[in-house]
Formats: sequence, structure tokens, C-alpha cells
Amino acid sequence: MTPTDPFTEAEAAALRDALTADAEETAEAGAEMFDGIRARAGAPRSRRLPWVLAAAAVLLTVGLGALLIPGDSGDEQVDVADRPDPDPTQPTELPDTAATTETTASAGDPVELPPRPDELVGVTEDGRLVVIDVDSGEELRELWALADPTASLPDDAEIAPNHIAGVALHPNGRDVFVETCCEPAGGSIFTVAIDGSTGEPTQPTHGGYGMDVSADGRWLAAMSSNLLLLHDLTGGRTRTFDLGEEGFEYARVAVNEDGTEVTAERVLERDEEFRMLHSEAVVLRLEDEEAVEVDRVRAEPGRRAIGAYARFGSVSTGTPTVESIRVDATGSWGLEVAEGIGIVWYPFAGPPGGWTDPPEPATGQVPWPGPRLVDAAW
Amino acid sequence: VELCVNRSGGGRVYGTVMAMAGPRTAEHVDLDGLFRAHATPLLRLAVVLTGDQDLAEELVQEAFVRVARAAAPPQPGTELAYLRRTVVNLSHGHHRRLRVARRHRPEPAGDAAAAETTAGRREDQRRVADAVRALPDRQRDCTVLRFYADCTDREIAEILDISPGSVKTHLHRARAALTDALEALR
Repeated sequence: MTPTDPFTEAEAAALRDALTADAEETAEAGAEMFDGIRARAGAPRSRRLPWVLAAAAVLLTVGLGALLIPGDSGDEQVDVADRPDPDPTQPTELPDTAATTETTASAGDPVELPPRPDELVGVTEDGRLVVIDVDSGEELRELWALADPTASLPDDAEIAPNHIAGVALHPNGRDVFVETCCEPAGGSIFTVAIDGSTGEPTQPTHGGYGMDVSADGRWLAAMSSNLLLLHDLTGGRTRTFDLGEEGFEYARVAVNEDGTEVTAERVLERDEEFRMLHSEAVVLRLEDEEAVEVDRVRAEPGRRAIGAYARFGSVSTGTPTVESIRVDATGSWGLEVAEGIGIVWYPFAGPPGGWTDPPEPATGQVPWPGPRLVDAAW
Repeated sequence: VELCVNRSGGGRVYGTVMAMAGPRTAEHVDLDGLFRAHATPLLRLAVVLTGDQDLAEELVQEAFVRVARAAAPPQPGTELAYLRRTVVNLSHGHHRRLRVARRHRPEPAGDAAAAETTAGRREDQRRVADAVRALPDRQRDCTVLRFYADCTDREIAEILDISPGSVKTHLHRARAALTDALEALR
């Protein structure tokens, strides 16, 4: 029983008894079962071939040849150096610095912002990946829909994502990375062309969740438990960094322009509905052998921390509920997806080292008639 | 129950890596050894997940067939993780159909024997188990792995290849959905 376990001891005992009673009535697996397996295992599997070839084509297209090398030449795992070992059930106490006690720096002179894009790619709660016009909020086209996730799959394709969890765009403006859950695994990342030319994806190309792509287009950063994965989109091996602190949940990463620094958002508090109430951002410099923590910023209670390029900000997690927050590749624009609102753009034009708080009213609110958006990227 | 990753020697296998792992072929799989070691625990897990012995046998058979016929079979030491994940995932497609079937299942006759404490207790347990099986897929997976297989959040996360935070989310939602069924046991 963990401290955050929603079940009481009595409920847990009742569940154990109920479920174990069914198992106890089950006979052992017998020889007949094994005979059936042997008989079917010997059947021809010619149906597999097109899908094996398709998977190979996808993998070659995205340049993942290096991952095909078996054995010890695979992922690199390193530990964060000199990291204290906090109680994972408690928020980390932060050093008493200005950056850790306030969520944002004060506003400086206005700077010229890069233009906002014309289109966004959004994910809806009913499992659709759609392109959205930023000005009108109009749905321009659908790239993928998981209404019946198994319908278009071959019998033996072990790929059946049952919802789309997140999205990120490659700076080439074409490749859309789509994070799914939970078949065959949570954090299966698929790649689809934004113009629809590749059709709906059938095989994952990468793994992880909370992903982001570097501005130079080389690195796809994602989390998997406490592992930070840095996928090399040019075909090199995936670099893996063990962030070490067991028990923390990482929600999202933002990678800098060349994959040398990552800011990871870490959950500090959730409510009873498991909505995230409070988070902090950890900045990690990725060196050859290790991920070195260089900064850590905790948002005030009731706010989520966001950060990129040594800049930090936060958004309220009150009402409406924040579904997703994201920073653009220049660190100039923030995008928030919130329940009941849709998409809101914030300019982050503060001085070096900090962003301004989002202005009131927000600069750009993209009307979205629903269904509820859970993530968006550009 | 020998199902959790850390207690059974299974390892974390990313979907992508699993699909691309080395040149191992199906001929290298010791199907007989795998069956003897894991078939019964997997069958019981499948029964708990589905509530249907025949269906559970089908799912477990299918999982072993997939291991045997996989173009890139699981690496040594990861077979149980592969089988377990396959059984859990295969149960999803049948889950909705079973839910409909249960909704139309006649209630047991209310005769005197059913009023006996032991029988009543078993019936309450059955209702709880059915309520668990009526949960959405991942909530059911997490609940069964936690309370049948005694897995920790982290072990469940590794089996299902989701984040530990997602496990907590699913368990919280499962708890809310199971309120009525659990109160009936008090």
C-alpha cells in the first residue's frame, strides 16, 4: 500500500479476496492447451510479410537503422551526478534563491516576437489528430482517428493504440510525432505526415511520453518513467539518461535548439481526480556521460511550471483545468490547452532568465467547439 | 502470484525496441519450457481479467502462438513480460463483448440456500470481481495487477508500459467506479 493509494486496507483486502477466489477456481493449463498452441504455431505466416516490410520501410524512412544493431551497442544509461536522494513522496525543498520562490521574472522591454504559425495540430479526447486553423479555430483536416483502433489493423499487428496522448511537430513542418497509449505500450510514438501523404501510421517509430523536438530537427526528447530518452532523428543511437530520483512523475520535456539541454516538468501534487495541481521544472544539461542538473524552479502552489532555454514561467492550474502547456522553439510563445477554453497563446517576452506572466486578457484564444482538446503543437 | 516484473525476471521492453530487437528467430523459442513455467499463472490472470475460463484459455493460447510465430521473438528473460502484456492486451477486445453479456445474465435465484452466509459472501465477491471486469481496460488492468498479482505501481507501469503516474490515475478512477460494489461488502 503506497501513501497515495486510493483504496483503504479493507477495500484492498476485499478486492484481493474477490479476485483470488476466481483464480483459485481455475484449473491448471493442460496438455490440450499446449497441443493447440503447437498446432497453430506451425501454421504458415505469410500474412505477416506485408506488415513486416511496411514496418521496415517506416523505420528506414525515419533513419532508425542504428537502433537495429543488437547487443551492447544500444542505449547509453548514465546517472545524474551528485544528486541528493529526496523522499519521493515529498516535494523537494529548494535552495533559497529568487528563481525558486517566484514563478516568473518581471517584464522587461518589449521584444519583437516571431510570428505565430497559421496552423496547429491538436489532439481531441475522442482520439483524433486534427489540423486546426489558428485564427478561426476551424478544423482543416483530420490526420488520424482512433474511433475503432483495431479496425484497420491486420490480425497479427500488435499495434492498437486506444488513445492519442500527445503531439509534437518536427521543424521541417511535415513530420508529426504522435504519442499514444496504451497498445502495445504506453508512450508508443508514431510518425505521420502533416499533409496526410503517409496515411495513418501502423507501427511506432519511437518510445516515450511528454515529447518535444529540438529546433535543429535532430533530437526527439521524451520521458519513460525516470529515463530521459533522446532519440536521434538522423539515425544515430538513442541516448538514455537515468534521472535517478525514483518515484517522481515527469509530465513533459522541452529540449533546447541542439539537444544539449532539457527542461523537464515534474509533478508535485495532484488532486483526487488526479489532475495536476502543482509542478516544478528541472533543467538538465546533457553532457557526454551524464545529465547534470543546472537549475530547478518550483511554481507556486496551484500553478504548473514551464521552462525552456533557461527561461521559466507558470500557468494556473485552477479553473479551467490545464491539459497541456508548451513553449515554442524560440522560447517566445507559450501555448496552453485548457479544458473548456481550447487553446490560448501567451507571448513570453520577458528579460533573459524569465518570462512575464501571461497578459490579461490572453493574447490569442483559438475558438474550439470541441470535443475537448488534450494537447496541441505547432 | 509469480507475475510481477521484479519477482519473475521479466524486464522493461519498450514497444519500439521490442519490435526491432535483434535477429532472434522463432526457432530459438523454447515453447515447451515457456508453457510449463508460465501457462498456469497466465491462465489464472486471464480468468481474473475476463471471468471466462474458455476465453482465458483462448487468450493464453494466442499469446503463446504469437511468441512462437513472432518475426522477432522476445529476447531471453523477457518472454514472460511479452506473454503477460499480450494476455492483458488481448483481453481488451473481448472485454466489451463480455460486459454486454454480463449485463444480460440472469440473476441467481433467490432461494434459501443463497441466503446462507458463505454463499452470500461468495456472491458478493463475484459481484466485486464482475465490477472490476466492467471497468475500462486500463483501470481493470491496474486493479487486477495490483490486487490479484500484488504488483506495485512501478511494476504495473512496467508491465503495461505506462508511467507510474498513469497507474495512479487509473487506480484512483477505478476506486471511484468501484465504490458501490465495495460498499456492498461492508
